[in-house]
Amino acid sequence: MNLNTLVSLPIIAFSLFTFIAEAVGYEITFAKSRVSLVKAEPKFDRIGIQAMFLSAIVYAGSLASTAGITLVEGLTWLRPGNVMAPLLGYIFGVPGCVGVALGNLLADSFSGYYSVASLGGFLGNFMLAYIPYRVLSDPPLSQAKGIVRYSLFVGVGSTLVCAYVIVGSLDLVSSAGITYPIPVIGSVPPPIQVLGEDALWGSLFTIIAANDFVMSLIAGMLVVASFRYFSEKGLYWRDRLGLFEAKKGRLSFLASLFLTVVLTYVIYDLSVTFNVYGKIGRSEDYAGNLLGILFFVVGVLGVVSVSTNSVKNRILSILIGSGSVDARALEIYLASRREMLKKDTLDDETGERLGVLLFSRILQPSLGRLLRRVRVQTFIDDYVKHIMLHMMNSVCSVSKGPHSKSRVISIEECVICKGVSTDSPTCGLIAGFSRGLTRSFAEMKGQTLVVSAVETECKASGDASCKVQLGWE
Amino acid sequence: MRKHGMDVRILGLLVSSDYYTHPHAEYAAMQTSIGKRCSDIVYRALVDKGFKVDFSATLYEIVSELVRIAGSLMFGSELQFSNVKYLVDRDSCSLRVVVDACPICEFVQSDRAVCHVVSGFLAGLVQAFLSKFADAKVDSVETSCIARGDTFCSFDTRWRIPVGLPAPRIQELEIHIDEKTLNEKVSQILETDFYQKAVAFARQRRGFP
Repeated sequence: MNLNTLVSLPIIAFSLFTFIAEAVGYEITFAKSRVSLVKAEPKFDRIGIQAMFLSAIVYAGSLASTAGITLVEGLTWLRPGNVMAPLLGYIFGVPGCVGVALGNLLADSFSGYYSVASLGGFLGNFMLAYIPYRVLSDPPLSQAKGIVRYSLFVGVGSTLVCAYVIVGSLDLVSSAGITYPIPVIGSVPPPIQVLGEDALWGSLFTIIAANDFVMSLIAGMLVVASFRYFSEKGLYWRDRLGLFEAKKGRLSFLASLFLTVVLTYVIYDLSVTFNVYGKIGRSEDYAGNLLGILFFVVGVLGVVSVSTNSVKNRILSILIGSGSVDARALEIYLASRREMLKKDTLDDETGERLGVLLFSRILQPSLGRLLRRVRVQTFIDDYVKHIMLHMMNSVCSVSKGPHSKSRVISIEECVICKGVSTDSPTCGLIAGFSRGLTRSFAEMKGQTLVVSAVETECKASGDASCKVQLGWE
Repeated sequence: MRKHGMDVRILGLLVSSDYYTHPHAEYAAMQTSIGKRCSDIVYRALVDKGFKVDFSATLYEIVSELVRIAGSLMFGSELQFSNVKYLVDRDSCSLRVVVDACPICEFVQSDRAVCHVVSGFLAGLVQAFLSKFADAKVDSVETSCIARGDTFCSFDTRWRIPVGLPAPRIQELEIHIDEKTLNEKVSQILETDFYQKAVAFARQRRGFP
């Protein structure tokens, strides 16, 4: 056993311990030169588990798309996809880190690298995402201190940990004499590549470390560039902490983890049986590979786009869409209210108070952390329509207004004027509500805005939809 | 338009907005009237959808069931009636309803009771039901309110026994909520087009059938 192997042993043990601790709900903390194991806040809510699967797919795809560029036959290839690991770990937290680990295993299962030593790849890639997740602050890399920390712990630290874990595991596996491939049901498994110690700790270690070092530096830029987008969509894990009860989340996570590992074996088995194992993405036809990469990128963008919108909507629906009473009860209340008042006086003012109260009493206490990152324009474009749907039972769309700081909210089904016929716009409650929401949002961000909201068209007056023009200066 | 699942807190927020916008007396009168109108609409829809009265039960048990079902349909499961009690003193009856969790006053802090919409709703409901038998004037007041620091909201709905109705045999009747039965009955009603009917009634009242 050489010195490198000895060095790798505690690193592998630490990585394994970290993974198991996080999987069962604990985390290692470092404070005042003291290392301790503490119970972690629940991180595996439903969105977290979806993020884990999403990370696994994205990471496997990004790795497999360049599997054709082999660096060490049977062991590694050029992996620009590693750039995704710090990003997925930082944005999605522990679910993202586990997703990265699973994604690596998934890529191995059809790219021709599936063996007992893949467990080392699983663990090494987990750490490649986990260290940035622990090291990066919020917001990421905004100060020189943060950049130095990142360069040290992620650029150098996670790179070396990953390389030591992967190569050390390979060394241990081959030293233990486990040089046979994983059996395949109903077929003969392909042989696995066995390297000597010199090749492992020489070329393979250097390739992994060099690749990860470059990719982690690029990843830093990717994190900075994409953080605002992901956090505005409600995907940043910290913003969801404590929002939802993660009851049964741990069990779901462990079951999902187990099933995904089984799935990788099934994929390995099938790809060997159908003779495509190790051939996917490894064509000599580089133009074909490029096309594959392009499809992958388009697919990833599609998945991310769909999932981000659904996550944001789900957060809001859980927060304000309890669905505890049929929506038509609101219509009965509003009809009674209108009949009682016989006039719209003060409706605008009541609506504004309604918006202010909804924001300050329901949204801000739970979503304040997330909403502070969101721009006024994004709040109106992305959030207002969901709030209108969940709280006012009104389906609406938001489009650009006559100038850059204005929007037109079109309400196709307006609960306020349903069944009413008047000569002039009558939904002052909705106009005031939009204004109150926007004004409260701006005040929370410390911005003093003059917000105006006027109903320009109304279904009660015969228009196709109710339209509120919202402007802010 | 989504047909199901509104967050009932919007009603509480609307009530709070009215509370902070209007003078208290005006707010109280307005909310009481709104509650009465709501109960009238809900009761009409319930009757139209065949709300079954078990005539083997006492009048008070029927009213209790009606209050719980109609309250759940209008204010959702968040309005939790913990206790419904009847007190009878000669020809004067009162229905005391205790609400442990009230979504209506959740967002208000006041030195006065503020759930006038619920007390109006209860008065309207009892009056609508009793009017099947005889004319009865029903009044309802909120005797304690979470908004002013009490531990629960409670409502005292009073009426005189209408002429022609027998005097109750039991001086004090306390009915504890059977949540399972209540939920089953509400589910049965929700399977019908109850809300469709109720909304139609609400629009008719505005003069737009």
